[in-house]
Amino acid sequence: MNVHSLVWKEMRRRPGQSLTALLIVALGVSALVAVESVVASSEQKVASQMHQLGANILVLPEGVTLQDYHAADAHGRSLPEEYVTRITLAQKVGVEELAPKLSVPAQLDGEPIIVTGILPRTEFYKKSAWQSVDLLTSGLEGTGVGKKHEGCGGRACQIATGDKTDLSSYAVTRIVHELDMESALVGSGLAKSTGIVTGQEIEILGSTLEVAGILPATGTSDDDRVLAHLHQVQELADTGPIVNVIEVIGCCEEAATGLVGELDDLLPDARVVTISQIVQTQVTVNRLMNRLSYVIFAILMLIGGASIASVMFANVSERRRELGTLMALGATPAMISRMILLKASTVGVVGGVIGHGLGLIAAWIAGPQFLGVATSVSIQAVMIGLLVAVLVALVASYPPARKAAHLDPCLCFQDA
Amino acid sequence: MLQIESISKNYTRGRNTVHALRSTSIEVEAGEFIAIVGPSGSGKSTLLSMIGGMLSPTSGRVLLNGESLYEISVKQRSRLRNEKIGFLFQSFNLVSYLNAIENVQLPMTLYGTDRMNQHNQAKHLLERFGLGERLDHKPTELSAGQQQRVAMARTLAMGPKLILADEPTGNLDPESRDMILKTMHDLCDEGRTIILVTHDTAVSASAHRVFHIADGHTTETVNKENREAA
Repeated sequence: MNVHSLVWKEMRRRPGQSLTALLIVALGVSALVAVESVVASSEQKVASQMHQLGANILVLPEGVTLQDYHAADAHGRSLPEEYVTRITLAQKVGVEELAPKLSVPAQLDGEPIIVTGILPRTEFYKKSAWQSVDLLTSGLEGTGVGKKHEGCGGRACQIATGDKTDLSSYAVTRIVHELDMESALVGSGLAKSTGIVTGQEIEILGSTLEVAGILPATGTSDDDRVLAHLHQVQELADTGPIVNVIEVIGCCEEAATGLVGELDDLLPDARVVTISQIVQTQVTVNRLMNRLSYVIFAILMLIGGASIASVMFANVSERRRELGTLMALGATPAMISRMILLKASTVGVVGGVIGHGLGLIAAWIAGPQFLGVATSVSIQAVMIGLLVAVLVALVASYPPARKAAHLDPCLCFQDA
Repeated sequence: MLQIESISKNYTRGRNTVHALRSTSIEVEAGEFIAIVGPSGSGKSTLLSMIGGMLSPTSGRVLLNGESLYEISVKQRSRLRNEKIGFLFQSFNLVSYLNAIENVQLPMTLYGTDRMNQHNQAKHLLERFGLGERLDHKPTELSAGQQQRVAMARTLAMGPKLILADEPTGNLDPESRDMILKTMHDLCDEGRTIILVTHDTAVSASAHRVFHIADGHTTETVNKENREAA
C-alpha cells in the first residue's frame, strides 16, 4: 500500500462525495469543450464560406469605384502585372491566394463577349524568383501564398485545395491549378447559349483555343465569359503585362484587420478594398462566441471551485479522527496536505476527461442539430479545459488541505 | 529512556487560564509498565499527548532517548513518532475503509516501506494476535476485541520501544481486556516501555508504577511486587 492507493481507497469509500466533485468539474469542462468545438466548427464553416465567396480583398487601379464585386475587372483601367510578384515576395501574413485578371472584349461567332485572362497556380510555381521564397513554394503546393499564420479565430484557414486537375473548381475557389496557353474555360451560360462543349475548338481574338472545361453556373458575370491563360490574353489583346484587378483571398481575421493597410502600403499606386462589412461581422460573431465560451467556462469553474472547496472541507471535517490517527502514526502535515491535494487533482483529471467526453458528445449532437455545423475537436479547448480543471480543483482544495494539515490530533481523539 | 522535566500545560479561554497539567516530572526506564490514573478531565490524556509529541507543553521538556521532542521540527517529530512511538486508543481508531492487514500496514506506508515487506510484517503481526483468518476483514466486520488486536498489531508495525495507550481496555469485554493486558506485559518483557492511561484498577494494579493525577497535580505509587517480579 502507498499514499496513492490510500487516497484511492478513501475516494471509493465515499463515492457520492467523489462523484459530486467529479460532476462539478466535468460539467465545467464539458461546457467549454462543447462550446469551443462548436465555435471551432463554426469558424471553419465561416472561413470556408468566405473562401467560396471568392476574393475578399481586391487590388484595383487607382480611381476605380467598385460597383459589382463579380465584375471588378470590367472597368477598363489596368495595373502592372508586376504587382502580383510584389505581393507574393512580400509574404504578407493572411494572403491565401492571388488571382490576377485581365478582361478584354472579344467576339465569339460574331457575338460580343468578355475574355478574361487568369493566372493558373502553376505559373506561380514556374517563376524562379518566387521559388526562392521558402514559404511560397509550400504555399503553392499546399495552401497559402503568404507566411504561415493562425488565420480566422486563431485557427489555420481552411482553404480547400480541391482536385488540381478539376478546372471547374474555379467557380468555387477562383483559382485554377493548371491551364495551358492553348486552352480556355467557358462559362455555363455562354456554353448553353452557343452549344459549346468540352474539347471543342473556339476562335477567340484571332487564335484557336481548345475548350478544356465548362464552368458550373455561379449566377455571376463569369457565366457568360471565356477564361483563358492571362499571358495568352495579354498577347492576343496586345496589352502588355497588365491586369485589371488582383483578387486576393485573405484569411478573414487578417483581411479584417491589418492586411488591407499592409497591401495599401506595399502598392501605393493601387486601390485596395475589402468586403469589410461581411468580414467584420463574421469575425465579430466568431470572437463573441469564443469569448462567450470562456465566460461560461469561467463561471462554471468559479461555481465548481466553490463547490469543490465545500466538498473538500466537508471531507476533512468528516475525516478529522482518521486524519488525526494518521498524524499520530507519523504522517507529517505536508503528507496530510498532499493526500488532500492528490484527491483534488484526481478529481480534476478524471472530471476533466469525463467532461471532455461529455462536451464532445454534446457538441456532436448540438452542432449539426441547432447550428448546422459538423463538429471538430478543439485541441486547444481540451488542453485548456484539463489544465484549468486540475488547477481549479487544486486551488479550491488548498484551504481544506491546509486545514487538514493543521488539525490537532489530540482534538481528533477527544472527538471520538 | 524517557525524561519528563517539569512539564505543564495551560489553556487560555478568554480571560480564564485552565491549568490542565501542573509541573510534572517523571523518569521512565526501558521495559517499565507505567499506569496513569485519575478522574476525568484531570489531565491524563494531556500528559499522554505531550509524551507522544502531539501536544507541546506550556513549559518543561520531554526527552526521548535524550532527544527533546519539542526542540525538533514538526517533520522530525512526525518521523520520530512513526518510528519510535506506538499509539493504542480506547476506540481503536482503525481506518474504516481499510481492511485489517491494510490498517496494520499504515505506519509502514507512511514510513515508505516497500509493499512486500509491509504485507509480510502486517500478516506476521496479525497472525501473532490470532487474526490470520481475518486479514481482509474491514473493522466493521470485526468484534471490539478483534479490532483492538488489529490496533495492537498496528501499534507494533514499526517495532516501537515506547507504547502509549489511552484507555485501551475501556471498550472491551473482560476476556479481551485480559488478553490485551497480557500482551502488554509480554511487550514489557521484550524490553518495550508501556505508558497507559486507565480507569480500570485491575489494569493499574498490574503496572510497575502508577501516577495519580488530580487537579493537575501528580503523585506516584510504586507496585514493588510487580516491579520485583519483572
